[in-house]
Amino acid sequence: MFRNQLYLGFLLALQVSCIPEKAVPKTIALYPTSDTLPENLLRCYVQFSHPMKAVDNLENIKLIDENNTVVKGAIFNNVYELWDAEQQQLTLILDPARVKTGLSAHEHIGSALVTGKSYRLVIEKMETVNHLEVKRFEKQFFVVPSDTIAPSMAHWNLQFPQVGSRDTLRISFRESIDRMSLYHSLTIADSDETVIKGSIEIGAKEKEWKFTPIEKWKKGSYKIHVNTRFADPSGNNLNGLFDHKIGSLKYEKEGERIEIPFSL
Amino acid sequence: MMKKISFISVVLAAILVIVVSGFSSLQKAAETAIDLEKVSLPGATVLAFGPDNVLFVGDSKAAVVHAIPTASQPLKDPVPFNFMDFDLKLAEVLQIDARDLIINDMKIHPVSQEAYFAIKKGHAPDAPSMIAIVSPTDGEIRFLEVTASNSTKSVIKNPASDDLKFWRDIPASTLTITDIDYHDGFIYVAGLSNGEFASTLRKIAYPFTTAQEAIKSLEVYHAVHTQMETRAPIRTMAITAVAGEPTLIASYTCTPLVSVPLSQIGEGNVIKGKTIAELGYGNTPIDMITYWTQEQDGSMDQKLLITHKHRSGSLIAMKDINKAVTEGKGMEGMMAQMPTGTAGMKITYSPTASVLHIDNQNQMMVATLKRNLETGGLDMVSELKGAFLRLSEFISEYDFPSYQYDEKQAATKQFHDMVKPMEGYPELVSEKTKE
Repeated sequence: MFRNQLYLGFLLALQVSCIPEKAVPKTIALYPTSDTLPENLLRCYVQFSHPMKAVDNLENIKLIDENNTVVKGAIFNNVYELWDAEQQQLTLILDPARVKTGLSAHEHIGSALVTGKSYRLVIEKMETVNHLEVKRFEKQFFVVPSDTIAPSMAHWNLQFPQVGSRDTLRISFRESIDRMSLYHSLTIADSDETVIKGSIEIGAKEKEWKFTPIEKWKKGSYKIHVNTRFADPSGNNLNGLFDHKIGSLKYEKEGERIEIPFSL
Repeated sequence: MMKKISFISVVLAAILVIVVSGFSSLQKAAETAIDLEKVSLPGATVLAFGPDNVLFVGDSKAAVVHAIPTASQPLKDPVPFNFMDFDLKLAEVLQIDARDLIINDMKIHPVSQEAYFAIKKGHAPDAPSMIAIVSPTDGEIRFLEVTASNSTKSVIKNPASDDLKFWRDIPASTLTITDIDYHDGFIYVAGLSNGEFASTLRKIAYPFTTAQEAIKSLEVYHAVHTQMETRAPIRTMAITAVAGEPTLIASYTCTPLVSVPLSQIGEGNVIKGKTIAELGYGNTPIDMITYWTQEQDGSMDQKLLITHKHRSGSLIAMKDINKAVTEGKGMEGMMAQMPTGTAGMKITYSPTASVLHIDNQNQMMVATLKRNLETGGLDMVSELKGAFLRLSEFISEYDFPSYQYDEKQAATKQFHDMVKPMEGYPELVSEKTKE
């Protein structure tokens, strides 16, 4: 009897030690991936390996300063947490009341992040949909002055593919771009306005957009569709600064489409 | 004063009768098998009642607003909810662990006074969501049939992914519907995107038309003293008359309270809302309701109550909002006078910090789903408007059997005698009042 139990215990231990790496739930990345972030940072994304429980998590995500003190009220505590459809990516918003000039919290408490200081974003005690606890995650970063320059297409560097190839079309940027903007604000269409299917890869520090089509590039004219909501991690977009004066936006309506034509 | 007391007396008599007969069947939660096909939706998050008792259900997962007719018996008397550990009962009916039950929203049926809950059974992305219904009279739980042939729906377009064909491994841009309000032939739908930070307020004609053109997306902004624009989404809102004009009162993600005349909201309009107050730092508004209450002098006064996730609620007199909208210049020039974080008008705190959801139940009560700080459970209970507390949650000197109310405390005693049966303690009402 005892021997059987020992044997079962051994089998169990073997099973536990043989769980593949992928099966252990963990935090894969925190975007922006750069280790220097602007004082007026608005949005971060946390990527998990497994579908996560999508409620009551924000208390488990803390911003900690150099003195090991939790910066209270730094992360905006939404009633509905902002997850992607697979519940593997969580959007974090730094309290915009502290980011925006003119609002009470900004005037009286100031920004949660202070230029020249180091911080840690700590994620712990979060659970998968099956209540498996995710390993503690920590990202350390240094804060640089607020980003008060809106992204501009004038500074984009485009690298076009060869006809007949499945070469990657690359756009590189001077600054880090918001991860979701890179996935959702840029598409390529042919002359019939048909969106070209392919895969998107994001370059280091979110400074490059790489598009590889499923089918070979054909000779003809194309357009890169750019949504003016294309933003940097501080919420500044192609239409203007996040924190801007009334009447200073380029387009009256947000979300207009700009086209960059090119021929191959 | 006399007017107020006479009103209270009538209500008190009604409650005493009802409470004695009610709640006997509270324990027998519905155990009938649940036909998931008929009652489940992909991701019901937000509820709102509309004309002819239609229930609007915002489904964030499917990016759809459903309009589902509800048939209910009128309940004219003010029967209070006293449903402790509601989450445990509901989980039991669903045959799941209570930690796998998510309650997204709660609204009260305007005719039956039943509570409707948008719930999710389990945490998995594809876990079904449903509309659970509980009546204040018997506490039985049932589920709304969402596949009724006479229900209609409207698809919400997500501007962040309009052009996009999804490929594998690309994090989807999702739009979470955060609030729905109906007014005069239209629903107003507020949403929060996981991929951008901008206003997403939509005006959709109801009854729904088949064409998607009926959906209008618009950008709302407002000015503070520096004339800076707030690119921010609406978190919760209410539609009410301000100086006779239908007005959207919206609470933004970054704390300002803003008024927008409904007449300004239309296709392609750029709207200049007016910041009328700031609710203070660290607020996460949950629900916003308006109600009429009787003042000490007998006059009727309309209030706006905003509940928050971690803070006391903000109670504001609508006459102050009227004044700020019609006379004031909003927040312009007021920044220097802002020592505590809230500003713009008189904001009274209400003890609603543990309230997860609140709605008008009847003329005198609100229904609340609140976290019981002692048991940790979720209680579905009614509270008197204005008081916003449960007497039975506190032990005070009034509760000792030997306590004697003196003459000056007549109003307090009357309040206590009204609230005790409402909270399920009719036996504690003083003998004199019972007579």
